[in-house]
Amino acid sequence: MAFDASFNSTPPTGSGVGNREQLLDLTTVLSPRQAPVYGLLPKQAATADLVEWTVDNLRTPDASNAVVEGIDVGTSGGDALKAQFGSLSRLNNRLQHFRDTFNVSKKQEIMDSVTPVRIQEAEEKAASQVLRDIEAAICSDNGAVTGAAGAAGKLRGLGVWTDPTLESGAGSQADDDVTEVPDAFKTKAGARLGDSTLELTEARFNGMLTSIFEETGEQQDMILVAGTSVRNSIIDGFTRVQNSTVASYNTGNGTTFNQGDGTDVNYNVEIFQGPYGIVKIISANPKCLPDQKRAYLLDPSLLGWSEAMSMGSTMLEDQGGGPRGYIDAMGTLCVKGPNGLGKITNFA
Amino acid sequence: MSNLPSEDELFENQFRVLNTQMEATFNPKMEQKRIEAARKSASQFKGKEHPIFGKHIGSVPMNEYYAMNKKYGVGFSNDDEFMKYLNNKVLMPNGMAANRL
Repeated sequence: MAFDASFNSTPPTGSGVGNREQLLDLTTVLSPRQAPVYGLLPKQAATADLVEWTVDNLRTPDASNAVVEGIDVGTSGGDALKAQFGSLSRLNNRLQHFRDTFNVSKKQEIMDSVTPVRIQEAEEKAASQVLRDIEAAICSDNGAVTGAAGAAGKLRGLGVWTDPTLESGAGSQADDDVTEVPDAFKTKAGARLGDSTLELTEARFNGMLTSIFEETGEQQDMILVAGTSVRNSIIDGFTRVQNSTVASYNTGNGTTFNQGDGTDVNYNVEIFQGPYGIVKIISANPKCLPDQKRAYLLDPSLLGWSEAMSMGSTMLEDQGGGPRGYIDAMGTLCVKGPNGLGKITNFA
Repeated sequence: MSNLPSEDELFENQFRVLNTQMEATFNPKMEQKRIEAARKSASQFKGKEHPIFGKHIGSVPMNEYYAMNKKYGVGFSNDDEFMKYLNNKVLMPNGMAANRL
């Protein structure tokens, strides 16, 4: 005996034709919206396409700095007068204009939908996406691009700022239209961990912090913004029970820190006090890093966001199809001391 | 009659939309959830130490950390007295730190 089954719904006949659909109002936007690095940056105004700032340092200390008694400055036998600002250097970066558009047809605007897909929600979603774009640009390996006909201006990302081998004049970065960082201010080799054949060991990580300390010579406001793989290696792999003499690098000891595959991100700032002063660890937005083996060791006082235009929404004229508009923002990343920063790009 | 939003409504809505993220971030109703997440994280470090970073002295939800950054300035966490107060009076009593500073 044949049943009148629910799948008998071939139009225009069949018992299932009149069955109601069930569409749950449970839309989930499963994407981290946070912008941890952007949020850390002190903001200032930008008024030119090429935003510039200066950096300076102190000369090498001279342990033999001793004055012969009775000898005047600048005289024979005395110390010569020196220009003190020979190492003053100018760094710069290009503005990047971020934009995301949105529109909704009049018909969709009127429709009753379980998921709000009206112009307000489109606008909100575009704003979140622009924020993520800014974060991704800051964390990227993008070289700076001068805006021209047919070419959008781009800012130089942290990946290039912290790696002299990526700068213009140094090799692989084809587009990098800003000044090469002078040698004295480049991120030091010891502060860059990128060998894919070496594990991320305590000794290597310690060497990274030491390398930065040797440059700055003071306890900085160090913040490690880390991708999931780095985070897990450093916390799960390194942390050990107090007073244990057995290093547990290979196996860890069950200490989990914001573990996950990128979809489970816990945005706590973990604060530690140790030999390098107070160090903070923050999860990076996994969607905004080049990959999950990426991490930046940052000092916010050496960074800044020069904002030419804060994020804003503009509604355009409805020309009959439906409401539309765009969200945009414009700014650039300022790095005031690449030699005080560190970067992890790869490990075994 | 159309039930499309008027220009005024759209204009007003821009402020709401742009502040939505901020409201969600600093929504007091979400504060408890953020505190619970920080407590859970801090509990992982009890009785343990990190060979490079040292001892865990606080788990602060990122939203609150940024709010403090804005209020007290970049580098506030390098102030020993401030951190001691934060650790002793706020984080430890709320289970959001594994060690007393």
